[in-house]
Amino acid sequence: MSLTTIVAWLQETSIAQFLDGSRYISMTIQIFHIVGFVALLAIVVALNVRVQKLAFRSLPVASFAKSLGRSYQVSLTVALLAGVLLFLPRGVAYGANGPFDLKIVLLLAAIALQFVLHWHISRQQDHEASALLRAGAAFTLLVWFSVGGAGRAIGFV
Amino acid sequence: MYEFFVSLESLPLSIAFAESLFAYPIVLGVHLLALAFAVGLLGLADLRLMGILLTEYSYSEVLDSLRPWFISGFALVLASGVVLFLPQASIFYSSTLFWIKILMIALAGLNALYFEVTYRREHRQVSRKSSWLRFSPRASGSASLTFWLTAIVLGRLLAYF
Repeated sequence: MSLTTIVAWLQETSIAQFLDGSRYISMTIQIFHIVGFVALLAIVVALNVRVQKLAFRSLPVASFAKSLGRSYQVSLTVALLAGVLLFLPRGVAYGANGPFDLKIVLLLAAIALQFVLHWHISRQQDHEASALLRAGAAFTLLVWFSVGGAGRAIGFV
Repeated sequence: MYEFFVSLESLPLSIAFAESLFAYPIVLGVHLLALAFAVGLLGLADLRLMGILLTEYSYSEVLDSLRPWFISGFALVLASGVVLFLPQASIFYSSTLFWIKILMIALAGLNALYFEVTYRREHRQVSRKSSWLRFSPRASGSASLTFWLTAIVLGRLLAYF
């Protein structure tokens, strides 16, 4: 069974039909998707501000990363769940959309990079992050912003 | 007033923007991503004021650390917002949602002003007995978050109504 067949089947499920039934439902989910993603980007930016030694230096970098860990998980969950609900009723159309494919690849890369980054930073013994972690944090931020850019392009292609 | 809004659509910038194929998606993308710096980082500061996030850090450390970043973000949001607004000024003029969004932004601005005044007074430990201006970080943070989230929601709804 190919991925296209699965997506087409998902699009015919009753939940997908329900989500496609009213534009108010779609609007509400889009708002959760955007607010979740804006919150997520803000947390990644704030983490970068600390990792790059630009602010919040009174406490070790590991403690800053730990204090934002839960907020990152919540905002990622909200953005992802809303994203899946937006995808379900229009999966076939999204499958044929170049920027959507790019967004998914970048999204998976960003989640993996952020996981590795957080794991290392929150176990950092020194007060500040190493040069490698600083470079990794900057690159991860760039990938997250690319996810946003590709997401925005979906509606225009 | 309506004529003024119509005349904005004839500005060279409005015409150039409307005629470009790529300008709209690029500027809209910048507007949304700049929101992460502006409302997103301000939201983190608001959550600190409400005692929910980053409570290991003092108010002043969180505000002083994030202020330059969210002010730069707001400058970018404002600039891109104006460019998006100009070519469709008369349409926005007729939209109730647009004016409620502007009202929310104005209320958020007034709330920020009130907070800054009371925060500075608190810092200088000026006697507050005779003043009706009270420093209330939790209320200021909640109000700020409410106004800005409502403005974002209304901004999204403008695409539909």
